Amino acid sequence: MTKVVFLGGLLVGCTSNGGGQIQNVSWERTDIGTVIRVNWTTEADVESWINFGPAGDCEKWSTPAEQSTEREALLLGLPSATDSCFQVVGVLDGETVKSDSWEFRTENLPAAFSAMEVESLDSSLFEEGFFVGSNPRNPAQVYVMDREGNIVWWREGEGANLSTQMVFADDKSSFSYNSFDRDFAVDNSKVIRVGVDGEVLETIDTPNGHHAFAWLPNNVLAYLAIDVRETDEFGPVVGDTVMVDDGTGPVPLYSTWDDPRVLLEEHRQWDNEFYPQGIDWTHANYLSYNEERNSLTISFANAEAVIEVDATTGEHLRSIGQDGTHSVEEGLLGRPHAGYWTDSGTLMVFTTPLWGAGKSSIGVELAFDDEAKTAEVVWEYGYELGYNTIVMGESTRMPNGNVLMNFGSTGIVEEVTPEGQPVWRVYTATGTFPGHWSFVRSLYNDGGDR
Amino acid sequence: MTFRAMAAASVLLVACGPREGTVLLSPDQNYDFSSTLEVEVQEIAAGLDAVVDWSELSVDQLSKDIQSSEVDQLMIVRFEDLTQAEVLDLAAKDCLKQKDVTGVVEVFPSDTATQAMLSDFQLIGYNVDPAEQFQEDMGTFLMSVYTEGMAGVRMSSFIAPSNTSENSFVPVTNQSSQIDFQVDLDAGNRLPLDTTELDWAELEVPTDCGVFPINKFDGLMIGRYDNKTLEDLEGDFLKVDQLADELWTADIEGRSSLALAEATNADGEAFSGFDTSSIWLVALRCFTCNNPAPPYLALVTDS
Repeated sequence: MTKVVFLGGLLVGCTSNGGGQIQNVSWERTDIGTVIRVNWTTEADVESWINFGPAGDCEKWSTPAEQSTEREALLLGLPSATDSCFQVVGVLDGETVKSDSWEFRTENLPAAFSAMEVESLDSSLFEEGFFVGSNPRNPAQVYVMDREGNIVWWREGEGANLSTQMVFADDKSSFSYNSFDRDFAVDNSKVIRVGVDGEVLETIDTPNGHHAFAWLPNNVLAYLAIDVRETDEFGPVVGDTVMVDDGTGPVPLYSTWDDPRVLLEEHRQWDNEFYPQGIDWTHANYLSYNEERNSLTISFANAEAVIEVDATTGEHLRSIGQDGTHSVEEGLLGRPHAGYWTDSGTLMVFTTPLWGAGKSSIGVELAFDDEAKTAEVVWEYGYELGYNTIVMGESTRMPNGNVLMNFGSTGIVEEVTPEGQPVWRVYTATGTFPGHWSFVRSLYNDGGDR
Repeated sequence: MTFRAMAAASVLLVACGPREGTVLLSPDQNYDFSSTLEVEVQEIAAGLDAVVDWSELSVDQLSKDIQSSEVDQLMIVRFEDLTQAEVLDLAAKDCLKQKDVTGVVEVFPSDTATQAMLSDFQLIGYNVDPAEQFQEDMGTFLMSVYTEGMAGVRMSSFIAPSNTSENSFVPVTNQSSQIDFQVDLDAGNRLPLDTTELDWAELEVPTDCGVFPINKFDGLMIGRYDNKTLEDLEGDFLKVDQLADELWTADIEGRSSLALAEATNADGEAFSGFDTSSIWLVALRCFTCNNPAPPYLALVTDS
């Protein structure tokens, strides 16, 4: 039986059903147009959950099961403007009971979102799941996209600010994204934490912050910030610092000014007026945290280096490029972006060797030899494609071993196998391109199928 | 946002099928519209830092007035693998894709500025180096002018770096680009006179590159025309909103259905229904699209 009740208020319907064991089912929309909150009670302390899906396929997905008499669950991952349905399910004494089926339509996407074109090349070689990411500019947007290209969660950016990164919390209860001034002339940088239901939970000012941030244990936020100092030789010069904020305010953990391995010397972008505050010296462009290594890894486009520092002390642990602790093939690091450590201890880096017009941007995996003090390319992808990425880009290992090749400003993201076979591809809309993307198998923690 | 009303409409539609007066929008109700875009080519010396000048620009490509101060953004897009003709064709159809694009740079002039150097253009802080990025045989460069808060391109010009040119001046004038269009308002099936609600969740308007995405519908327009013929409206179609004797509008961003009574006129009065004494148009508009023509527009029966 399908039951739909219209009440003028926030809650749309309320009834008792499921043979009397599932009661007081009610639902409401959240601040995210595709996310529905459902509440219900059960007569006994039974395990219950919700089956939901597009209309006609109500059992397609499910929320995590939980044993309690008072329940609340969010329906996640539904496409926009889609007729949908749900049903509360419980198990009592081995018997499955179901509530009536409820139907609703999800809201439509904001008009500023443009469809991305997805190519599923070999679905047997990739996992179902979602991409958590951003569109940095024109306009800034943060979103979650499913494999079919449906935007299933979204927020629009703030004014003309850039949003280069959004991440999903480990407990999957919230998203965090950054927002900072388009031309870096105004310091309004912040990291915004939003619940899965769209409620803004926290806005953290990140003075002088730019490009990237990372969450450390105990809700400590680390972020990149410019560090401008006056020099005798060049006047004001913009270096970079990693700031950490445990909730009591940001303090510096690491600065390029204090690192003798980062050389204050002219480079190809020396005359570019990227920052109005001074010469763009190092140009840090990404920060990643590795819990197992307790380290933060920073990539520097202009210094053409990738540096790993201790996440507690800020000590320089290892690096490639410039006066790095480990040497790499000459010319390999061209405007490097986004260094990530893999579980096997290799480093994934996105780079445009000998960068410039016509040069190919590639992803490389580097294995470090601490005795020889070298870092050797053990995997690479992209030379033959000829994609020339000017802004952003990353190469990250996915849970199934594939690599997500994000070609940044080209507007192309590919998933490739370790053998270099592309299995899934997406093109962004004209004038837009992806910021940082990450993949999650499910939007739910502890069970749930979606 | 009219959250509660939308929730109500959605639920009722899904539960009971279309209500009396609710019309499910479909492509066969739609009018015919096609357009052609003409864009001038400005040759410049390859590798030189040319001046872009819009001081003489006063009318945009849709024949609307434009002030220098309204030139809020200029964007140059490079298409490595597309000819100028291919770019024009795709741009006119709103079918250009990011995968066609090799590079994008932009500049945001101040209100008083009427010029910018190529080297002022940048992408998130990376300035253009004309010596490297504006060379012959690097593809097609399309420059477009935008006004903040106004949908679509105001003016366009191709820039063609050439080894045989010594020119370093790129004027953007009233002749730089021009859009011509053809319209047949009566091409589709008309909406019933007793229509009180529209539902476009399943509307798939075909385009030259797929289907028009329904989230791009962000404005509803109902126009009443007392003393005009369809030919009058077709002849000045891009001003079809200004020609109306009375106009009702609604913000439909995020929506997929709407009760027409939610649309209001300039005095804030709600729309109360169609009649047979006038011509009535109903349009779903896209204010974020480059093409100013409504993606969906239908006439009302016997109006």
